[in-house]
Amino acid sequence: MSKILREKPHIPIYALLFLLTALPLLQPLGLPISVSSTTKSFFEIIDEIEEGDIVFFDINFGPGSWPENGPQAVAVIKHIWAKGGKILFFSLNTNGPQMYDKMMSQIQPPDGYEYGVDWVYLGFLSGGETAQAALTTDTWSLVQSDYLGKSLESLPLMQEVRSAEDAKLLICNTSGALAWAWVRQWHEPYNKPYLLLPIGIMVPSSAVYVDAGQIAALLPGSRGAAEYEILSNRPGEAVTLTDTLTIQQAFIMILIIIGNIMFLLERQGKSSKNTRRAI
Amino acid sequence: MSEIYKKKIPLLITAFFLFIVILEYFLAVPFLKTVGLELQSWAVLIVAFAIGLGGVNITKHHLLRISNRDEDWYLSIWLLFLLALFVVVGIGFGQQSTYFKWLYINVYGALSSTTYSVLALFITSAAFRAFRARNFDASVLLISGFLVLIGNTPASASIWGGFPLIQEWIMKVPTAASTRVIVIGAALGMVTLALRIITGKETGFLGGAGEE
Amino acid sequence: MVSLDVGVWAAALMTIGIYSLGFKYTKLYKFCEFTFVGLGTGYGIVLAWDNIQRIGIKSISMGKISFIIPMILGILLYARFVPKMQWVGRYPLAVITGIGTGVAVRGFVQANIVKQIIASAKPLWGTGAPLTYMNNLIIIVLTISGLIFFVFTIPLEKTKGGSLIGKIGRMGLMIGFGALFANTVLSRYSFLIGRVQFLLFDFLGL
Repeated sequence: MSKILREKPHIPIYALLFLLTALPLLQPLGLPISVSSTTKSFFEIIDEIEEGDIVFFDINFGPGSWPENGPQAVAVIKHIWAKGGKILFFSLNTNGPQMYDKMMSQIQPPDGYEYGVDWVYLGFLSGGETAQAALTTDTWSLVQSDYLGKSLESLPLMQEVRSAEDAKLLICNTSGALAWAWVRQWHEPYNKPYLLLPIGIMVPSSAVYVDAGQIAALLPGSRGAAEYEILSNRPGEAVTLTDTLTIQQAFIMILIIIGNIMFLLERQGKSSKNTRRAI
Repeated sequence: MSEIYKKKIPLLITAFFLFIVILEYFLAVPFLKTVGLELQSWAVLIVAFAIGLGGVNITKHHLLRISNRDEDWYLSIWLLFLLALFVVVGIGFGQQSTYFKWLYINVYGALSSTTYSVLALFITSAAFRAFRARNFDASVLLISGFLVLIGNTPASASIWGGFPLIQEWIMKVPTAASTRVIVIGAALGMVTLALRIITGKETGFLGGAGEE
Repeated sequence: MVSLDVGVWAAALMTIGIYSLGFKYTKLYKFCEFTFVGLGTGYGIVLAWDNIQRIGIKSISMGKISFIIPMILGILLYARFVPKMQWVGRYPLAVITGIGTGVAVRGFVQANIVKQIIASAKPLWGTGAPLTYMNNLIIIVLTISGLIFFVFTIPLEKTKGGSLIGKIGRMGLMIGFGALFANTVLSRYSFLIGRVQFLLFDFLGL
């Protein structure tokens, strides 16, 4: 058994990983979830949104990172709309339009909310950081129509938005690209709050911007999304993942411990052999 | 003479536009602001054309594979067929059409999602095989990673309330400090690159268009 | 009950094909690879065309004649595929490099250097909680030692205490990489859960 573990450990490991992922999904365990101060900070900022406030929302991820970015976006958008906020969506990622459609299929706009009045989607904008700069300086400078081809003049929300000055804050929902560029193109010139919805991998790199106050708050990956759903009393997709995440994390921790024990035993065995040889 | 219009003038153009865009940011001159905004819109539009360059390159590469009968050349036919199909469906029927969404959700989306997730398998086997406390640095990495792993676990607070606090401390203090080092270093590199572009010393970005 | 939807079966086949890489590099995986590249490239072209229409053609039709210039420059990008005309492709590259680099670098100094240095200059004493000042001291020490560690032109081992500063800087970086590993695990496992959910509920109908 230890020979298999040493020479071809990946086969039983992958099999176990799939099994441990599937079982809690089929039979949820109801393990408790605590809410971190990071998520609470994010929640409090969104809770301060007043009716009519405009939020810029960058949908900057693809289907690959939907399990993390998707539930984050759904939970936050529901909260913004519950507070009466309006959202200007746009995407700097080519997959943004399809992710917008998927998000909207999961969110029921509040009664009385209407496209064009309470939210608009400008579609995909190429150019990366250059598009960010143009969008914040003059939102009308890049495109003359929205995602569906409707002219901006026909959309009442767009009459209220000319530049970043007209927005309360920016939210970037991203799997990596351009998150840091928003610090330069949004926070520095306009000194307005920048909130980040990153995948878990980006959280350590974001820490430095949070420490410097350039990112007002962030929601760390799927765990942050689950915590947000609990805080806002709207359980969704993310909460269903937490049992499985707990089991998976426990699994990899056990593997690391076993691996290190095996390593220490091997090292001890080698050093006692060397000692015997020396004697 | 050819050196002038093939190399020197493009470098001058780069430096000129870079200079204008930087000036526009720091000087409150309305004319410069208008020019700067116009130039940014131009760049966004040109980048849209650049996205298509990838498609042309890939088409060229796979046509070559087919004509040379390279290994698994029939897969290149499949690739080009799918490329053309997606373009025709997307432009002809529109991004909101059922056919486009079917291809995106059931094929491309599934592939993208699975590609992102397959690393979970490799990271698990790597953690078992290679994540060892071999020396002091590796031990520090292991302990830090382990503590953050525990803190990231949603149910960790119910075992001991200190786990999430330790995780938060690691993220807010040592991780922020070490990432700051990388951020400052990268920023210094970026500024150096910009100076090299302004002075015409950086020509790598032009090389891809051929030496002729 | 197992789904009868052709789309779900296609997605399941793609999923299993990619996961087969974990065990062996199979022909199925290669097929999925080529499918991904073909569709991804096609998708990019569709979006690019959409942007050219909405930003370029529509703007020109609404009177913004100046947009003809970037349209021409964009087309000139493709000159690189014509032998003897490849140098023409340098002009649009020069324009987007100049503008793009300018837009990026003008914010770098303020955001990534000045503000970061200011954020590092934290108070070491005062009336607040002692833990705060201890944390501030750790941040300052790790930031300075990390920056010194990256100065490779001065051999640290030869300076008194230099190797200690380098070790402290490296230790700070190791802590950061450990945190990065843990968060990478969290992310990738979340993505894995998404696919397993699809296989269990959408495909197998459990």
